[in-house]
Amino acid sequence: MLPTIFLVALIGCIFPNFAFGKILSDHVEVSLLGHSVQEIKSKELRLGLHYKLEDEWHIYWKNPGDSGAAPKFQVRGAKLLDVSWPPPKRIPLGDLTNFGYEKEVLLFLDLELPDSASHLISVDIDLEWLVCKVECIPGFGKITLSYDQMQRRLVPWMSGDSEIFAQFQSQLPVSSRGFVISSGAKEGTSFVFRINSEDGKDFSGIKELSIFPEDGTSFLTSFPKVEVERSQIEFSMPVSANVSELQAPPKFVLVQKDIEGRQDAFSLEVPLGGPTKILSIGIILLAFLGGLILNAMPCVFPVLSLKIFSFLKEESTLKIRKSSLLYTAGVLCSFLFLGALLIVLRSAGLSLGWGFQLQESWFVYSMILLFFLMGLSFLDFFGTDELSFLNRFNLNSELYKSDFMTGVLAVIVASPCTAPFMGSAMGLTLMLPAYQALLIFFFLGLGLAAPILMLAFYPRLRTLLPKPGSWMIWVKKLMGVPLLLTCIWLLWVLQLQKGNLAALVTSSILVLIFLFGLLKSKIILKKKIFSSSLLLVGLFGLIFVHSLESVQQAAENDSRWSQFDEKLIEEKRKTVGVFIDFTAAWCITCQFNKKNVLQDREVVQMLDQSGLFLVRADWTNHEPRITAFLAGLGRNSIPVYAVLQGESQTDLLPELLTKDIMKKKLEPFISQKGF
Amino acid sequence: MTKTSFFPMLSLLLGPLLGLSLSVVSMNAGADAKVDAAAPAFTEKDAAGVEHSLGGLKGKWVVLEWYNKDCPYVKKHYGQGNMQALQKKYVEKGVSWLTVISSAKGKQGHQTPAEAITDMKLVGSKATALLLDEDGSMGKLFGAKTTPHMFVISPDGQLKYAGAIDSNDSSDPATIASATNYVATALDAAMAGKPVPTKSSKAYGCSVKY
Repeated sequence: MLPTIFLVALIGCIFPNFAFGKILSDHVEVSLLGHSVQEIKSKELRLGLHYKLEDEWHIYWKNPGDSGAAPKFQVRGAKLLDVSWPPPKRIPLGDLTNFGYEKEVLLFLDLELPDSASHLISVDIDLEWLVCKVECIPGFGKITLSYDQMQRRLVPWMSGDSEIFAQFQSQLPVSSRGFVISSGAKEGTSFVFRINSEDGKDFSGIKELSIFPEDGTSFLTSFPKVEVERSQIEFSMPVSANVSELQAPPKFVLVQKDIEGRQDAFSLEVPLGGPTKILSIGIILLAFLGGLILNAMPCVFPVLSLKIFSFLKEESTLKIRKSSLLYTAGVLCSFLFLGALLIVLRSAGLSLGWGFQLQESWFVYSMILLFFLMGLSFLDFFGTDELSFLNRFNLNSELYKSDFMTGVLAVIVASPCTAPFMGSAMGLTLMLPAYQALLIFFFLGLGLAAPILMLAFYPRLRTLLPKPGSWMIWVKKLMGVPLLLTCIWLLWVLQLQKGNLAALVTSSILVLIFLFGLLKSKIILKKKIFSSSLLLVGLFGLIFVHSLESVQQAAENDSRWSQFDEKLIEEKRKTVGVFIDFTAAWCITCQFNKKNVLQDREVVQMLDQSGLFLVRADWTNHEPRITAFLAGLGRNSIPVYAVLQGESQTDLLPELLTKDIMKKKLEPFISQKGF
Repeated sequence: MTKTSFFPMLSLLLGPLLGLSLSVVSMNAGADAKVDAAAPAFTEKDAAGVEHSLGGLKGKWVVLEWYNKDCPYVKKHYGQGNMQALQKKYVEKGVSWLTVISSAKGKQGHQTPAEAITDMKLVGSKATALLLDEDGSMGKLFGAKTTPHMFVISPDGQLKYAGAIDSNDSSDPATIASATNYVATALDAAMAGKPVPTKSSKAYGCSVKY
């Protein structure tokens, strides 16, 4: 016993830099402790190399900063997969700054063990490091270890502090949780990007925030500008003068300390191609076009046609112009109101996107009643002077007082029909400051009101319109049809959201209204009783439907498409690639694309051949995780079709799909598979 | 103030304070010299008392090499004769190679003129001159952060390269042979009128002891 200890001690003295997994060097001690080995999965080991430093001396992080050098590792006998670094500290040195560690740190090496006949694997690690106080001393050393795969431990066993492995491992940066990273762009001498909270996480509780760039060549070590708001933080990272464009999405480590002293570290990867602070003409045009196209949607078209009819009947140009301006005012005010509401709710922490109204069943219910009443009224079901509240919506072609409300109505009914172009314009409202986002809504409204304005101010256009006549009565009745169809479709949406009972109750109420309408001419009922009883019934239905539990989306019959699961998506994108269809029951364009393209036999065949992992992200109800994922793609409205490949490659398809678009997109995947 | 209302009050106070304190304007501690732009105009005395300035060097290729005799990374290049060979090769081609010491008095690497001349002879430096930038003004002008930190300036005063001497930041001299020497490639390309392949890189070494 004694001679062995003496021998070991002797060897330890002769070879000070090499003693069974411990290196003693100038100002630093590097060791591999018994408890510092963890088997992650079969054939994969995580080692914790313990660097213990003398007071006032430090070693460096993977980006050492203005000077210094990161510790290096050369592994023999196994494959070095990855090195994990606990978050560093800023170490200032005069005007320069370094990023590193003081006192002690554990650096984690993930190794892949080779296939070996014996269960004992021997690994050599050559280490190099730089330890500095003011002056620097480079150090070299070697650690040899033997790992017994059967017994799952190091041989010979070296005791050590078991807590330290867990302690430093818990400090390792995790991928961002609870917030969404916007894409970043270079602005002047800084790289600017933002993080937005999701699920109402409040940033004002953070006591200390530090951010470290992994890329020391592109980013300077000087303090970045950090602006903290309740649900958003903006970072302006100073960039080296010699970097014109960043080649790859930069990575950062964000360390936050809250009031209670808890520290969390996150690793951020910022996609490139960021938001331009200047609203370009192109985006404004996009919004305008989106609004224009909304006019052609079955939801809006009836209202539009009614307005045009009112023009046909009117002789006075002045009246027409005044009326169109009031209509435009109604449209603009409603859009701006909705936009402002969206922005306010988002900044209050709610994760919402455009179309958020339709995720609420009470809104869908109200729309069902509205469209039903409107449809019936277009069919002249209620006669010409009953139900005075309908008059307010100008359903009797009276100009003036109702023009403003017609504009409001147009915006309300436009919600279920997201037109192409609107999606990208809406997505941008996520990134831009509030007043610029409102500008987008403004131009959207302008686009919607444009046909009416044009007709009012360009008399020549009006001559193109047919002369008024009795045909108008028939067309008006015809317009009632798309309104009723929309009503039926919304019923289907409600059924998906709140289940069959809700749909049943709502349909019953509709039948009641219909009966009322039929009977009112037979029974002499006072107008007031009629309308107030209708109102009561409607309200009862609203409360009842809303109180029902939301129905979990039933699994689609089509087994090709999987449910939305972020973890699975992240995994599959690296192997086979992922195709995500962001859809909702209330999104007409989405349903159109589904029926027309995604369920087309040829396209289905192509999707199968491509080997892509297919995901259907259902946004019919309020789903914050899907909202957050969409935000990460730079969107907040649907439809969205995304193809994810590898670590970070993401392509978005246009909102209106065609077979050709699908063909083009899927081709490379199919040829890869060798079809 | 009850216990429950204390924390909301505190966070209310901290909130705006936080907002203010976290809006720190970026400190411009030594901006990087910009490549493909005019090099900063410097004037500095060498160990022999002779003044060198950028204006006076017009028409010549200039290499600036930041130096600290005690820095292990400087020793890596001088110990093997790498730096000296580089100096000899290009000085013979007409390049004006200026070694600069920006260490402040009392700090590592600082040398008096006499010490500097002795040291130059000792290490066998083939540089044209050794500039003594005791107050660190020239170093800060160029944004020199490490020793060594290299700059290549064209005859018309344009900065052609700024950064590390080579591509391997290890302190092990054995790595020099396999590393790409950025200064050599920059000079070879620029002097032949061709574009420089690597115009800038992250400099490595010990921090300059301002």
